[in-house]
Amino acid sequence: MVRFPVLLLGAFGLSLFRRPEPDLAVAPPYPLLVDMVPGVLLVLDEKRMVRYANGAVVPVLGYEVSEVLGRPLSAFFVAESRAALANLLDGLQSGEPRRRLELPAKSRMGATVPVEVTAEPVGRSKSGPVAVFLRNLTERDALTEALALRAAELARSNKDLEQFAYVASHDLQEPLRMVGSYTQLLGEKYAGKLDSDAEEYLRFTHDGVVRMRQLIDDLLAFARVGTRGKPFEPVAVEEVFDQAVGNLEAAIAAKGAVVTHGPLPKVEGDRGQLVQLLQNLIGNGLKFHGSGPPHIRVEAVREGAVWRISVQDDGIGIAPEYQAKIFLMFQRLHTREEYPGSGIGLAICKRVVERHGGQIGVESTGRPGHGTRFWFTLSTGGGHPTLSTAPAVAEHDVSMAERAQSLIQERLQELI
Amino acid sequence: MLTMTRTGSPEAGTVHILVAEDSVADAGLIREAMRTSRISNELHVVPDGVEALAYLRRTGKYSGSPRPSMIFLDLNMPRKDGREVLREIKADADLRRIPVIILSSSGAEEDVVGAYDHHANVYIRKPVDFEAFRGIVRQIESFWFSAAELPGA
Repeated sequence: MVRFPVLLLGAFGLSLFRRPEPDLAVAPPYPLLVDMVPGVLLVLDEKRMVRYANGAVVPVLGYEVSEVLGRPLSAFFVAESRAALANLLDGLQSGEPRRRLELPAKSRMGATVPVEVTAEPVGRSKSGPVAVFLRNLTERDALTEALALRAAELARSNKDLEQFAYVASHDLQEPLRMVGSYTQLLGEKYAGKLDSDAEEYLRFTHDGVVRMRQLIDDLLAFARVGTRGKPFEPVAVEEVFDQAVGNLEAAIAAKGAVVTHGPLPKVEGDRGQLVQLLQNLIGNGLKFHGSGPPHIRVEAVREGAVWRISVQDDGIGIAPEYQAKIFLMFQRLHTREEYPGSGIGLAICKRVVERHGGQIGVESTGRPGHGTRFWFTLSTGGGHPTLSTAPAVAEHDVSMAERAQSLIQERLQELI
Repeated sequence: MLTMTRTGSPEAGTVHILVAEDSVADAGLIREAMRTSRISNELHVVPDGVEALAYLRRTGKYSGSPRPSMIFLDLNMPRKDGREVLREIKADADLRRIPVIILSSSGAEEDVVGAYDHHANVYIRKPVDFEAFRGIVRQIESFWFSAAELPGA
């Protein structure tokens, strides 16, 4: 009495719709939850026929669940994928626990769908049912492609900008040379014949020329970080320190400064640029000193895969509200009369550190005497084979962009 | 045949220098620097490469011009630039003996190398500072017109 309608319904359903049902023996224990997974889960029998499929086959491959059941897995892949697919499943049978590869699948409409295939035996038996998970890579591939495009664009515009800065600063020297030379001649030729106003005007003009020249030189130096950089090599930071201090000898003597350092490591980098970096940071400490002679100390601390190198001074400090601005081009916090400068020095530092794949920052309370601590990070070496062996420096930006791209790609893969 | 032009000495005649320079202001600086020179000199300024070669070959209005003992050559000039002029001078059996001093504001490696490749006698980058420029002109004088022996015309 009870059994009859069930049997009848069952027979009716089968004969009328010929609708294959998922094999309950191999279905996962939480079918509703599994349907929510944003990837195709298939369970294959020992003949590699699909016995179970979750709801994701609809959005990913365009099939209804019922259309997939009872068909071989290879039916959902393009012909070129089938050998690799068979190989993957054979590998499982020969005892490899879990395997993964990327292959183009084929949708119901015949479109190619890039998927990542992960396969794993369901039970203990190597020849028993196999669970196959298909992750749709369409979106990731599109993102990767967009990212690659953007990276190339960025690298190009970076290069354009450097070229522009280089040409502009070089061509700017020309008229400046004229202004400078002729004011000088004017001053010489009419020395003693000019009134005090005129002499003051000449002095202002001369000051302007000197400042402009400094600005152009700094701009050139800034542009050259990208265009004139050298390939990376192992560099002892202590030698970098010695050279930077040597270059600053006059300023150090004039201020009666004491510049010391702790143990310093070897890093991978562009020696000339690292000297410039340390020289600018130490020079900063010499310039913005307190009432007494400045004390500057350079130290290095290992932090995982990087060295964190700091330059600590006991000068006037930088108020916290200005700390974000100081690494930008042409940002100055003081009048020219107080402290001369073009405001490019720290921007150059930032560029050098970034070219080396590191970070730069500043810590200061802004209270006089507490001083400022600049820090930057450098790779401990060997971590950037692409960068250290890159022969052409013009390609640097491209390789940086590529590195960023592969990093983002990795992160994306973790997220999807 | 080789009459030495020891221009540092008082009995020497006037030194003729061809200045190929399109910028009047730059030519003025050279003139200014040479004005206080110890040696008696006469500058012949031409504004481009075509005129420079016309001068050297004494064609047209330059038919009666004196042969220069030295050429100051700017690289970037209209019509025919200094690179071409240099090549033509150094390809000319007669003109190539005249020392060519490249005076350029360019510090580009390819300009420097290119100039020496084409047998420039010396490449000098115009300094930004006039005092430095005057110093360089002094050095050119003392080296080329005192220390060095130059072939006569």
